[in-house]
Amino acid sequence: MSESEDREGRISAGAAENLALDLEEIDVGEIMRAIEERVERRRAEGVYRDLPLLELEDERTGGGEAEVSLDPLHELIFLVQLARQYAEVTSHYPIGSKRSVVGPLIVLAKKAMRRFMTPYMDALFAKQREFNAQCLRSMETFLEMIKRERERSYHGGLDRYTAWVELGFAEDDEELLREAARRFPEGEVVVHLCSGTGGFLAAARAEGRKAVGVEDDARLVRMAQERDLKVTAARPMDFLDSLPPESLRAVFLKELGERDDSRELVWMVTALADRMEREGRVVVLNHHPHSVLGVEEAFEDPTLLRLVHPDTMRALFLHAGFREVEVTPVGQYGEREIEEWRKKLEGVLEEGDGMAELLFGPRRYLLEARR
Amino acid sequence: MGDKVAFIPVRYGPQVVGGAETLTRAMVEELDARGWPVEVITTCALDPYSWTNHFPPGVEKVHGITVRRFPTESRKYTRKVFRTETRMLEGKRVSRRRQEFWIRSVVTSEAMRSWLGEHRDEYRAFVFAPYLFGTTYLGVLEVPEKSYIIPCLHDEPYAYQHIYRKLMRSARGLMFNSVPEMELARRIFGDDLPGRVVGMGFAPYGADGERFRYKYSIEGDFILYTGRREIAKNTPLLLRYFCNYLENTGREVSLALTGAGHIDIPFSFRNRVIDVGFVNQRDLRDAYAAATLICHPSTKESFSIMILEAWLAGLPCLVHGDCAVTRYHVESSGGGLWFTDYPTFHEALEFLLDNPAARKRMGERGREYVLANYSWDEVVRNFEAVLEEGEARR
Repeated sequence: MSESEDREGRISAGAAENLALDLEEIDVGEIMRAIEERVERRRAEGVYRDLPLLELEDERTGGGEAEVSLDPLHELIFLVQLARQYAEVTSHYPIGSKRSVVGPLIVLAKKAMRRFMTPYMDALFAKQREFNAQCLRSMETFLEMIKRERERSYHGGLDRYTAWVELGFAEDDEELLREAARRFPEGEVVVHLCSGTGGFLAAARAEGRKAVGVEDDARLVRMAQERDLKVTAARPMDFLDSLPPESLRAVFLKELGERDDSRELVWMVTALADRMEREGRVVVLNHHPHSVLGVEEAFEDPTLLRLVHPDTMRALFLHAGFREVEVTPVGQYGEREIEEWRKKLEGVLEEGDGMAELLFGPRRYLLEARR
Repeated sequence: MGDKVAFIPVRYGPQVVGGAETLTRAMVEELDARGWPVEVITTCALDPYSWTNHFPPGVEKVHGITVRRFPTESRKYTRKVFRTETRMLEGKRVSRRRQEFWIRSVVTSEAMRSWLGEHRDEYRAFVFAPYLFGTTYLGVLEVPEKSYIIPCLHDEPYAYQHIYRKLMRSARGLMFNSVPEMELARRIFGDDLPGRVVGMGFAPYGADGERFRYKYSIEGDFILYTGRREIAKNTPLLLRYFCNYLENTGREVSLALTGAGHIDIPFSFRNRVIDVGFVNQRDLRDAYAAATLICHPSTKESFSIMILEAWLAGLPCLVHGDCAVTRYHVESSGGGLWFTDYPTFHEALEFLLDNPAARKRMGERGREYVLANYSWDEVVRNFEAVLEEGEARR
């Protein structure tokens, strides 16, 4: 039997049976008894090989060098620790001898030699120590910088799936999405970047448009696919990066620049300008910062970090090279909603001329940009 | 008589890693926050192997608490010391005189000892930790009438030396970390040993496991080991068992090590054994939240802070069955499993990895146990009771 077959044999034996226990009422004493019984039964099968590490390593590598693919960060941490271990150079290593009779004499001679050599060695070692300390400090600083950068680039545990699906903060206004879909000519294939749960894809279908989504959260991709919507699992930025210039005709984005790093907004608009065909169309549906109540509603979604003013967005698109940019406020409050709010706010706010506009202004804006 | 309570750990500071030191600092900071007049008297040492003076001697404030540092005597690890220590570890008889000679080589500070003698009247109590060091032995003998010890006792050959019996019986009271530790102390030093279980308090905390995984680039199931990496803590044993487990099962699971100390990881396993080194408290708590389970293979524990902290994050644990303390925690709470050899390690780990529902329930049980038994109110009440019992015996 070859070594790999033998290993596979052990693997299958190791994973063979599961302990049949009541997991509702955990009794660790009972589990341990079951484990011990199982150990007694299987000991003879040879599934519990316990080799010393050196022997195990030799067996795996056949005495040669192992090929292991390591994460660069793990490699750096390891190297820093190794460097710490060897950075201190000293002549004060332990001196001993295994010989019982002449041993003490040998030790004495070694100690005398060391004492004689120490002043010379120390002068040499001092330079080496200084150099090692500088190298170590550089490595530690480098590692610290990487760890700090990683920490800063971590966006926190509340992702869109958790917020929208698990906590129920999704805000898909179907009518607005359908209005956005109607901005694209029929027959055009619209690409929705960051397609989320697929609300726009479904609205586009209802409006007789073809739409495909690009989404990087696997759970959201699965949800949309379960609704029979077409979604590609990819990071939208990577997706754009992979496309040749002037290869897109119709792109839809929702809440552009309202999440993640604000620098990504500029990158995204510039990349879109580069990838859109001439006369290609980008439609953006964003929150409008004009309405007080609309802003309040927008920030119910905990993944939202900021609102981008329509004038800012317009300027960015023009600056990136889009020829025509048009902004339309959408999502007006209905009469019934306004009446409900008025009742709630009665006695709290005195309604002046501008108050209704401030409170009940449009909640969203649609930006339509042509290349 | 002064009303200050002085804690005397062998090392002190936020950068100091170690169970007794962590426990002392937590206790000092909690008492300070509750308005107790506390101070710390300690050495200038940081490294637990060389014990060389790292911090400058004198008075400083650490998190608002007065810390007095005294230089240690340079350790002369002579042949005589080495032979004495070897005889102790082999369980051979060592004369009392030789024991007295030996303890003076295990971290002492003459400056600290004489300062204690001169300023004894300014303090209500001196609380020493842990039992093993010369600073504790000589300090307790200098001010026995006001001495209390947090022994952090393990079942180890040193504990059976006469000097430690003398030490324990000289103190006014002992503050144990767990019931098994107290039972061990009474078995070795006599049933009438004064003191009670005090331990350390824990409070629930928030943690983000994903943050740890992202920061340290760790994916999939992983077992967490945290603490010093050394033979005394059985880290090499865990590494050996884990590597053999990987080889025997072919499972895709990793072992993440945090903490100080060097460990030789076989090259071919380095993609599965991830050493992230020393991490700060936030990262450690995030690591508890990220891990699949925590493994604590040490057999010499008096408390095991890391298990209790990990339980607060709902993490089940796997401990060594030969450690009375950790096994006691696990059996009392139902928060994990134990192993005594490779086959039981293999099967217990397999069970935990295969049963997420059981893991979750064990983590919950552990959390309930910590919150019920180790609240700060309870700990401070017991601490005060030991002081009052000691004062009543004067």
